[in-house]
Amino acid sequence: MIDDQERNGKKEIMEEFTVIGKRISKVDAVDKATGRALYIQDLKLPGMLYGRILYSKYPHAHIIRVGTEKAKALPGVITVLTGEDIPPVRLGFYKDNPLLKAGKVRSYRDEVAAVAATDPEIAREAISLIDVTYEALPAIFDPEEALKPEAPLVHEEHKTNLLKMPWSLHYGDVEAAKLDAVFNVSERFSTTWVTHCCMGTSGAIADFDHSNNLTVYTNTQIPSLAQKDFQETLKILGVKDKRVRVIKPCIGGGFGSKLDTYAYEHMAILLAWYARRPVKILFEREEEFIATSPRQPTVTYISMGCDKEGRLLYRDMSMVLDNGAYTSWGATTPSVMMMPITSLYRVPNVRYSAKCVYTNNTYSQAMRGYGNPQATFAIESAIDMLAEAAGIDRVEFRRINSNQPGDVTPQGLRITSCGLPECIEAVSKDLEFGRSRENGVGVGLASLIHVGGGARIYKSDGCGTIIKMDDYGKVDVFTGASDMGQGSDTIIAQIVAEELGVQVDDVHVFHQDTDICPWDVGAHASRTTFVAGNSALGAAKKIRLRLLAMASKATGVDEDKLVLRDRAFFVEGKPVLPIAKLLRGSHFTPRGEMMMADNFYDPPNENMGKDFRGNMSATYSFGTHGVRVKVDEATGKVEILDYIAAHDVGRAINPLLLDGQVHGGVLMGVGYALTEQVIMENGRNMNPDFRDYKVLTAMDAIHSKAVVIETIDDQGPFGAKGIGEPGCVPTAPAIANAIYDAIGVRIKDLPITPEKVLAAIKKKNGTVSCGIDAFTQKEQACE
Amino acid sequence: MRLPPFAYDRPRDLYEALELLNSYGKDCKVLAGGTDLLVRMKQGLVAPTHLVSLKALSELAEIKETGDGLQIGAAVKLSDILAYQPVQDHWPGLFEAVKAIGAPSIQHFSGTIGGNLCQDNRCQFYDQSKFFRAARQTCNKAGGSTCFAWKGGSDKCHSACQSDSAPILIAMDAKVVIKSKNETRTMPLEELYSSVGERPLTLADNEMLTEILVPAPTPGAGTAFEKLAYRSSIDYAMVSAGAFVQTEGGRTTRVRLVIGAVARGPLSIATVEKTLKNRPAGDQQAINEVAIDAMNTAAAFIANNMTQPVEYRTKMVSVIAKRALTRAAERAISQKGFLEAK
Amino acid sequence: MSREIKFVLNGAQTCVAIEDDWNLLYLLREKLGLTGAKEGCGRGECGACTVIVDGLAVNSCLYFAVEIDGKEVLTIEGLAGADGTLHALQKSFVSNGGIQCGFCTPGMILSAKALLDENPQPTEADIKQALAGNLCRCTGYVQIIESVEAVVDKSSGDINAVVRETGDSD
Repeated sequence: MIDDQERNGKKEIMEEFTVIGKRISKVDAVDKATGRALYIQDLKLPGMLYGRILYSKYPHAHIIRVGTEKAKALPGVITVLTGEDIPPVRLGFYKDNPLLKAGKVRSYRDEVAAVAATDPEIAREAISLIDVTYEALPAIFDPEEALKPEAPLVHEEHKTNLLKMPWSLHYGDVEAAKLDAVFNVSERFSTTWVTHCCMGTSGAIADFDHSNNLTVYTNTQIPSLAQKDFQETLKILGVKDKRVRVIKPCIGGGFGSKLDTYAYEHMAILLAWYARRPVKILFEREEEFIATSPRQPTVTYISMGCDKEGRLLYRDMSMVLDNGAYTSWGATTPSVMMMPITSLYRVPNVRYSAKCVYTNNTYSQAMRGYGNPQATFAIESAIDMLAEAAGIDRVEFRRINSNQPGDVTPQGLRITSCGLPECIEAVSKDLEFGRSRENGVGVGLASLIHVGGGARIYKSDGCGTIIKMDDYGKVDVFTGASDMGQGSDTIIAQIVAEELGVQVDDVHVFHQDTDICPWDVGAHASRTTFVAGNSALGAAKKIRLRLLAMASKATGVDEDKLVLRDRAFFVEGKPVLPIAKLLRGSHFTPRGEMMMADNFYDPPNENMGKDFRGNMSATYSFGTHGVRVKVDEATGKVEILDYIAAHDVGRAINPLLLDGQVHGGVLMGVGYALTEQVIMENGRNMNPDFRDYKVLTAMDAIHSKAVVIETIDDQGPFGAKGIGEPGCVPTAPAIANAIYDAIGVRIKDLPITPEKVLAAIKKKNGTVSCGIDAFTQKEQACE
Repeated sequence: MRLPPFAYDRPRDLYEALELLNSYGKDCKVLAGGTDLLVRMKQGLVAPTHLVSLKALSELAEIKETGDGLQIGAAVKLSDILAYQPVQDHWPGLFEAVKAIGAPSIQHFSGTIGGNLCQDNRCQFYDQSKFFRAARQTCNKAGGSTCFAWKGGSDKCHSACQSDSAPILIAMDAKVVIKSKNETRTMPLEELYSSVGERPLTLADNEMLTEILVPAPTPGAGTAFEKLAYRSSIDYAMVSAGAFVQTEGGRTTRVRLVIGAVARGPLSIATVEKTLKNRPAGDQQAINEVAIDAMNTAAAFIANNMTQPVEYRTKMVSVIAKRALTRAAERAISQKGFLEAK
Repeated sequence: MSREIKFVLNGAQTCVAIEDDWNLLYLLREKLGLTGAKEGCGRGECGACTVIVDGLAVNSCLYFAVEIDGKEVLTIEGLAGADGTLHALQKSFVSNGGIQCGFCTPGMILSAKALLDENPQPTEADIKQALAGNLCRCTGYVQIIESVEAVVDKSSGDINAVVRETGDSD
């Protein structure tokens, strides 16, 4: 666990806060502990219909005919839609994904028809009554194969399976650096699909009022952008100049899965439009596995070299990403991968290119880390290999190359606060990298850089806040942020409470409704604490100034002598005026005033230029993970003995929630490293359930030690930086490095399943055997 | 999702239950814990018109130790077996096997030992929703005529018996009592399994497993169960093994090894007795030999019926077999129960 | 077939007409308006629907409604005291970070309660075992296990002392 003493001690010396830095429980936790929190699963509207989607039976086929007669005749069925029945709504920023497919399907996940019925079981039956005639087409499932000229085309009109995206950069001179390098490594790594597995499945309710204003209740991380997407769909339906309201019920987990709008949301809108009744679509677990977008697989080629002192001279990487049949934000993850590729450790010469390729697989999305886990797996595995080649201790190698405050990286990232050296120290000290070990046990480490001060992906990286106070000194905060369980409501409440001298429980944070809450680009890029936090802090500061001015007037005491804390104004340690009294006075008076302020905060970061240079985040988060593993050399199973995750978080606004982000990220990362994979057989998901998709259980839980390094960032709210994603970024390479340390085999393809470990052991030993039995420690020949 | 309609009966005694089974025949399913049956009903794999619940049959929910050994009613909950002190003391292999089933809050408090023994075989191509299966031809097990789990196809179903309790109980020579309205028969547990993937149990439609009889512990005997899975709970075994070793004066006098999760029924390894008999208990070289025999035997059966690779599961049979035999031998010599042995 | 069943639901005698093919989760959520138990998979693989029947944690999605006739059912809605005082486990989950998105929380808390009722002094291994059927994607289970341990470890003092009671608002 966290070293509380050390942290508290540090804080005492620095500043005294009443709520910042405290282990405060989540503001929504009681509702969740009592079953009162409402999720999309729990919502019903009067007269609501239940929608359901029919998916393709083929990974690639012409649709010859969709027969809906039997479905339409089923009592209780209100609306049946096919691709021929609806105007051309297209999804995703690339607009390559028709809402209902007509003419052709390109993956098993393709939506072919949809129904709305009075009961979910009737809807299910109706779907089974729709006859679709297909004519199968040759399909392509391997992105590298898909690039060959003879490969079938997923989208004929594109004339190639390669997406026309500009992911290519070259800073410095990699070729020249290769000539200078004394030690070099070159390797291929791959990662496969993993999926978010939010415990709450996806769902949406669409509801039109009499004037065709639309309300959508949905699980989304991007309420304001979703509003825009839904507005576009209305436009295509010919509904113009109407209001779209997005309401977020409690979200049962996000992790990036809700960064885009999806067919089920738009389908609910269309069904509601045609049925003239509210329509709900709620995914079952199997559908959640099959019809939501996983983290995309990558094939990475990396070469890296250093001089004889171990200083990195170049990093040269190229990647192929399986985009799947359509395009969502997964295709833009190379923009974030560029960050670790150009800037994790000091490396002067960098080259990178990425190809996103259409296949007949499911289309991919970002997931916690937005490409960073895939890139960091290759980089940090290769760092260990290079350190070994150079004969330099791998901890020392990382020290030599560590980022430092004040660095400007080749991509133009301006490193301000940077606790990476401290993170490396904390991990190496804790795991005693030098000590001798028993058989099959090894240690490994890996580091990360991530955006910690927003990420300017869109033109704006902004977030709005409105704060108002009532007669009783209670505070309502309307934020653009989206709390999907990570705790942003609590962080915002703490920031506002600290600034206004009230208790956290005096602050009520609303984030659920676009009619009420201000604009925001979404909960992504670990940006909420930083951006929404700064936005709330700015609004609170405005309120604070007004309160002080009013209190000064009311008390006749100079503003600079007034101290605002404990819900009152203090002069020389004595309370003189409760905030509530001041506010009541300002309301119940002629020409009174209302205590309300708004603030829009857009961080001082930059869009990337054409050459991808630009300081995309206002600050960067760093971290190092260390792990001790034990490998069962007879079965190939990897057991995690110790885990330490050190993160530079700027400031821990709430160490309780911070720990939760780290522990949760770590176990998700361990799953990514060892057990989780969507098993695709020719485009078909073979494990759409929790039995065969191996999310780790409580019995697999690791008591990871979370170490917090506070660097108090100049730009962050109270010095904080983002921490939502970093916890799962360096986990896989740390484990891969530990396995190498333990048994001398390097696994280059995720997940590191027992069979892969065993196969690698056999290859290394050059024998055909059952492995080495842990009981005898001897090799046991099978044949 | 909701289930297709059926009628539910909760007979008050065994006689009434057997009457109902007799009259409903093949359209009827016995409902014990329901943790396997309900899932299969939701997936549309079975659609009984009648369910006969065992919930009110207290005579099937009793576990007791007698002079002849352990009598376990078919409807005894897995959690009750784990809590039963004599099991912890004398049948550590059974304790380990039951503990390894599923996850406690799911299987242990609802699931029954009879349900675990009588669960249908599993296959990654069969145990899926209707929607999933609709994209392929119907397989042998579902009434069609192909098998996706067997390379090159097969006219037989190559599903796997995934009962974790069966291998150890068979290794311990457990017997089962089978009843129908007019008949009671007692037979070795292994005869419950037909080794036919399509219909893995030898029970007639009007028959029911009512009791499991485990022989009394003998001095110098040891049992152990091993299960290999990715995760520590929830998972079905990639390979499992139950081992029984009887020793006398440090030598093995009787031994059984049964491999689970690899074949259409629990797989007894026939050569184990010949190889290990009269050898010093725990003799690693001899155990290695048996383990490799087990692997070779299993290799003929292991199909692509799980998401884990066939080749890996095959190799692991030897490792898991060896570990089960080694630990059973250690217990035979040390004469320690599960908790002590831990 | 429809029939009437009687059972004790969160301490109250309840009589309700059901169909044979309803599962307990459906009855609770769709007919009785108790939406605290969640459907996460419908197949007994995630534990989000866990409720307590006669003292045992069970997956209500795999439990026929007809089988609770004559039994006692506890859902998350019935765990707090009649005056709204949170159960020690609820307090502990709240104050120890055992809750993030909250979807698994009702099931997780009830699995923990069933464990503590049966074994008031469980080890960490016992706790992990008892929660092994309740999946959580947010927390990595660490703070969940700590939440249960905090209730077990009575020596750390009155559980109320470490809880922000004021969190119990709206």
